[in-house]
Amino acid sequence: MGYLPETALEPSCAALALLRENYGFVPGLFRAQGSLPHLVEAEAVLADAILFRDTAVSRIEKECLVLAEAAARGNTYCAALQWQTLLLLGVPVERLTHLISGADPAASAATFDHFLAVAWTSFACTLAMGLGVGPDFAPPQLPSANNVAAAARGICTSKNTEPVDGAAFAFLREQLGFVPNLFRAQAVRPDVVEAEAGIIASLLLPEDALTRRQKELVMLMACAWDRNEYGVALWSDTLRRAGMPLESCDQIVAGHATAPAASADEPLLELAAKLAAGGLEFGEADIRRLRDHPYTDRQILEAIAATALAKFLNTLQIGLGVAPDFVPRPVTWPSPQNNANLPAELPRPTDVSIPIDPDLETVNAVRSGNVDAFEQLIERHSRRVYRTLIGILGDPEDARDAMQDSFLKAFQHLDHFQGRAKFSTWLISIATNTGLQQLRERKPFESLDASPAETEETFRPREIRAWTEDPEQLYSQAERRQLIESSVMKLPTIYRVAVVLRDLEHLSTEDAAAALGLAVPTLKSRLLRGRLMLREDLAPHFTRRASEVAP
Amino acid sequence: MISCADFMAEIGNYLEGEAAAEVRLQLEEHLAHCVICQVVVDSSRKTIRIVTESGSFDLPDPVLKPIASEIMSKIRKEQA
Repeated sequence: MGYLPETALEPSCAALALLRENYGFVPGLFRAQGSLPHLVEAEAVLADAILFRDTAVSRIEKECLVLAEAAARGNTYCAALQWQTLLLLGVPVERLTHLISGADPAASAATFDHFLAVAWTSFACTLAMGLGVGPDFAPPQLPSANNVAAAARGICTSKNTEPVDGAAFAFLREQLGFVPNLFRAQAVRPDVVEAEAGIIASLLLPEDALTRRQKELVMLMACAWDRNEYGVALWSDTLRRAGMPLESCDQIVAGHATAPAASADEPLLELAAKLAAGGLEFGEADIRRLRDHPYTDRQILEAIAATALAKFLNTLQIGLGVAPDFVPRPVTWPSPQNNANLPAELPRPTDVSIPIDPDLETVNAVRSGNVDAFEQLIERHSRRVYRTLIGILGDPEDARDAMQDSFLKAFQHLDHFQGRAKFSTWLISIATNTGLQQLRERKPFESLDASPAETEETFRPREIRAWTEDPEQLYSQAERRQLIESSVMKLPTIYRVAVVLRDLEHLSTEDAAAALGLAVPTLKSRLLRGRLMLREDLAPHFTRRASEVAP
Repeated sequence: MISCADFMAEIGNYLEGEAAAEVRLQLEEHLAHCVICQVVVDSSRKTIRIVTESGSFDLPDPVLKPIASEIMSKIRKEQA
């Protein structure tokens, strides 16, 4: 849970399919924005244009860069999401560790695609920080921010002569009065410009939460605290068009507390300043201050998203080395002294709510040197780990070996467990990865990946005899268990894994899909097929006829 | 009126209670007349129930204990 309550997105929201397709589930970062579904749609489209597709740079390399950048920014949420995504994309842990330490060459590449990925990181990290969303997965251990210099990157001055026509440019011209150089510089990628225009349209234009002027003020403030002259000039000009004197904009930039034009929106601008400054710790107390004002949760979400959008555009402007559209304003950069409400000293801890994890105490005992305490963790979780592994490997002997490996790995990497997700969840994800890896080694031709043919044909039932009213009465618990275990073992791997994680391990559909790196619809269709196959196989034992001859 | 094949194409959503309202109505209309699909739905529900509650692949303590000991001895060896 983040600072704002989640609002469920409509199942018809196209973003859901796109996110599930690419992450295997809907990350909390997007669920937390459910009260602005159009914004989530626009963000998914932007992520698709920037990250999810192979362009001049492959998806994996771009996702790797996002991991390195998120780690350099110390953003636990984004680092955890990227770590898991890359694991599922098959990137070995060694490379991920390398990326996090900033030592991977990907972390300093400098092409347009790389800058887009870095700008996306800036956007997602700002959102994650502002919304306070808890990580979807146990986050990797990040080096302390002081040790990691943000990747040194050259400036990509791609001169391009692409025409700036098309609907997206027309939209920008109409809304901003001209096409800023920042967008002209991206004309080689009309899909990206279109996705950016889409975010601007779905965030800035609606007036049912914050007004457009309020959001532009937030963007101006965010640019001031992000020390971005280009952005300050751009949003000052936009506000000027709406009737605000440029001098007022300058005052706001220098320290909004003194600016009469913004005094009504002071708490809003304070949020933008603090969030954009990044180094200052941002927490739930900042959200509470806005609620007390009172702003609604949707308005707060818009302010956070506008700040994130400003950070995105600023990062891109710096990376692409975009020349100013205007003679820069004489900027006095704000400092905490200009504003009594912003703490001059940093940092203070964020108010991250940590779910109570029954294992945390034991984990900490092990970490502080009491190795024997690990045995308790084995005792508590070995049944679940074994069930997961037999589901994946289908062989008791292999499952027992893999169980040993899983616990050894968990022990060796216990320092990577930060307690943000439950220990049991973290452990099951290690077991799943161990199992899948062994499966690939032992059966290199058997793939768990979705194949187009697999879901095509509709299931035709063969067993159509009615079952007895109370199948549980026919056999003892032990006999039933034996029947079911032998039927489950007969299932082809892809169906068995789905049934085991969902029906025996009782994971949610989303968690099971995420653990296997599958899209939710794929997991669902395999689960159904697996259950129907079990039905066929079990039927002879449970039909009414069987009940007459059963002992 | 939908066919048995149409019904089977939607049975997953139906069993999970996720079929859209109008689809659900059509499915139930079919179900009211089709004994075969009734049997499939009933036995599928029972299958899910007995599998979910079976406690399958639960390792008994006598099997688990030695494995736990082995893991711990490897860990201690590694530590030493």
